[in-house]
Amino acid sequence: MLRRQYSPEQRRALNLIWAAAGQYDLDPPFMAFDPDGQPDFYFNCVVGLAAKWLDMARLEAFFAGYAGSPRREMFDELVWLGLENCVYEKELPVRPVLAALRQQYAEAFFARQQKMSRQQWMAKNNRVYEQQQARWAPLAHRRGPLLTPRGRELARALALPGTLDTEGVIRQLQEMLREFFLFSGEENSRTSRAFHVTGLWAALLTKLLPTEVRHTDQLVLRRSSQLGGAGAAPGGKALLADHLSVRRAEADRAYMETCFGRSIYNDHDLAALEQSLCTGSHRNCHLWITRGEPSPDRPPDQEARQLARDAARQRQRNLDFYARHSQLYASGIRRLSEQIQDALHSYCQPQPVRARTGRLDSRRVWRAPCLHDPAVFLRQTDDIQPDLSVDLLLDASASRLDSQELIAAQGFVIGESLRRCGVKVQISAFRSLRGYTVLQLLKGYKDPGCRSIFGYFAAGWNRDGLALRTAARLADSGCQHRLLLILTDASPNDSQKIPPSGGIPISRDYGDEAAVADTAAEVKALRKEGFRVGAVFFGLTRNVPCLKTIYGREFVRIQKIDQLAGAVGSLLQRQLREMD
Amino acid sequence: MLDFLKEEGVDPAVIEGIAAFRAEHPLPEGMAERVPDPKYRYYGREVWNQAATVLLCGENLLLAGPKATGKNVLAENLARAFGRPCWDVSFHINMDASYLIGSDTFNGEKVVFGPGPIYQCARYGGFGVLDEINMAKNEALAVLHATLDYRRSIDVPGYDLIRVDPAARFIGTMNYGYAGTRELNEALVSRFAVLDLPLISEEDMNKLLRHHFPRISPRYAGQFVQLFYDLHKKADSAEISARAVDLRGLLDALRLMEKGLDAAHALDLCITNKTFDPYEQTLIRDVIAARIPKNLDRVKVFPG
Repeated sequence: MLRRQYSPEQRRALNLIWAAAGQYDLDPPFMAFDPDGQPDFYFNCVVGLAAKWLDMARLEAFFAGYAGSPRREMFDELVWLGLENCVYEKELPVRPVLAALRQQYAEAFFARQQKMSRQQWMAKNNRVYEQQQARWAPLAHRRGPLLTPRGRELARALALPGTLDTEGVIRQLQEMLREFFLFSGEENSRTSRAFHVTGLWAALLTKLLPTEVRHTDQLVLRRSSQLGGAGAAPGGKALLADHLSVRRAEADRAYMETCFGRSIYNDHDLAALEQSLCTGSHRNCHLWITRGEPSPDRPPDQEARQLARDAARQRQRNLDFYARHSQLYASGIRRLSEQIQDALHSYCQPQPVRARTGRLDSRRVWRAPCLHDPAVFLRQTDDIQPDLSVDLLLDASASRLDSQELIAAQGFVIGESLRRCGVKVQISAFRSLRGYTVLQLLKGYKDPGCRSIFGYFAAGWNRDGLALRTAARLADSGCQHRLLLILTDASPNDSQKIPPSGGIPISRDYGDEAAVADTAAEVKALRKEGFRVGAVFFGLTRNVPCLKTIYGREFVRIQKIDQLAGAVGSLLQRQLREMD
Repeated sequence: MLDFLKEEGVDPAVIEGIAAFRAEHPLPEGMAERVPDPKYRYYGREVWNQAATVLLCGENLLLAGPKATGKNVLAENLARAFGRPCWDVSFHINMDASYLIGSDTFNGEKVVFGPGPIYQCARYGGFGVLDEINMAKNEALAVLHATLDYRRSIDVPGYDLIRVDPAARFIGTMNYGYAGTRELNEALVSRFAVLDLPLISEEDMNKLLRHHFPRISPRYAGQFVQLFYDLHKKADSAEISARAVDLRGLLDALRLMEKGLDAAHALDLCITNKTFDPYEQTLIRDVIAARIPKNLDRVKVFPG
């Protein structure tokens, strides 16, 4: 599973594209930014309009046709100049504001020139630049460049009319590339050169260059920028080994114990728990529920020592991050506590307490003669003691590698705020590895403080269905109201397949529709049991339909992970309001 | 109002039915003030046909639908069309039976029954609009069961059993899944005919704008309609909250523009600023800017 994180600027650009296209599941091939890194309003609209009016899949195939060419950047600029004219003409009748936006863009184009440095001027491709000038000058009421006859022909070729369909657009663009740049597609045959670097160089380069995070079944406890560094097993190899080797249950179990610490259940209880929970789509799966305490029985090997060091390092990073922003988070805790307190006062009735006077409690009356206990009455107080438990499940799969410190800090804010309001709260991180779904209890109901939340780290996959089922089992069954909140990207994914069942005779990957359906069924079952299940969604827009399938309307979407505490507060308020 | 229904193309049989109902149930004395005079008309022929037929058949009506579908507007319009006094009850979490039916009160000399809105509605044959009915606890609504079903009666403990006037109807509104709402229980839902209101259509929204702003330029009316749909789509994709999908806000913004405020500020005041997250505001402003020019002024929107 590859995870794409968007900065606020990128998300804004995407929103511009989606709004213009009218499609919110679009994954556009381009986003436009100005030299200051801000989304380019007009050109992002153009990208969206291209998706609205033209067949984006075919256009992407056309872009891919010159993607290997060393001149691809110049081609991109020219092609989009051509597309701009086409979609502008198509859209203008239904969106008159486009004329004003185009003019503003043209004026901004020339205004930017005045601010450009010499290096920026030198980096410009003259041929592209004169075409852009020719396009925008009349709109900005300026004199255009003096074009050569060939340049004028190119400008005409780039003024694609709005009457063209996708095929016509692609045909004309291909013709333009062939005629003016002698591009026939053969430049694509060049293969890219690959270098393999290790050690210090790898660590340095991955810090400097963009990186991709790939899940493997070998636990890699790193920041994304450190992937591939010393000590981490190569992903491909790990994956291959996992498929070819016969998995030995004992070895995997030892691996879990080494990586995540001993289980809070003994072998017998854990087996019973697995027997009751690992059924249906999760048959053959295992559970590991831990507080992260190292096992005294199992001597750590070299890998375990390395992992323990990495986990400790991540914990220290989490703590340092919190310390750096402690003032901000302290005010966050205050704000969230007040928000929860308000909600509790509005929606929870004061609980009667045992007293020596008041209304006789018939269930306890036997205690007076038998135990000489005079407290057999119930008295109303003003104190709100909510009969409520909150279980917060934090997705700790590798997709969260980039935001571990933030999630830990936000988890702490949530835990501490609920604790201060007297709400029973349990916080767990969940991830899956080698068929094991690991629930790391970061804060139990009875834990006096919340600092253990800083032990959060991200690694592995996420089997949401089983994690939810297990968390529900661990929730306080004595409470009348039980809330189960989950931080999710609505993209459950695990390397352990769904075993064949009566209807489907072959095993299926735990991902995509099958995993979404499984998680949705799990949420439905939990709601039937009386749980209120809500999600805080932090993920890609294309997963929103899956999110809705799984959680219905009980979700809050956050754009930045530092909105997590606020979102949990809103969900909590919403759930409290709905309690009878 | 009946002329408006004719213009809307509502089934003539339904219009005749409404006229007959009005003739059969004259307005009680002193109740003229309670007949609503809706600020907005509800546009939608099919919905009118269905809703009016339900009420003509003596049923109660539950209007369900997301924000900005015109649930309350339709309820008011129906009361107006049927010529009945209207009691609007906004439901909330602490709603109880005494609030709906009435409770004891001291009139200076003795303890007497102070009638609640449902009681009055039943007595005078009014239309009771139960606004956001799913905000209240189901237990509080149990008191309405006998009023809403075939028994059509209200038994006030310690006082009389009163019969619900044959002209009385109850119209519930609910936004399913709205913050603070809960599931209605089956017993209550079974006492209503449920009408799922669609989002206002492009054509009807154009009519609405032209009705309220006769001078609006057709070109810009179309763009404001599209702006509403753009915001709705963005909220539906969870990119922004539903606060900005505010039809009332859009009409208010146009009203401000008519008075001379420029489009950017008017839309800020009535739409964008209804959300308090700066990032969300940026996204909303982007949607607006992609439809409405920043320097758009009164002369362009309301020519002539």
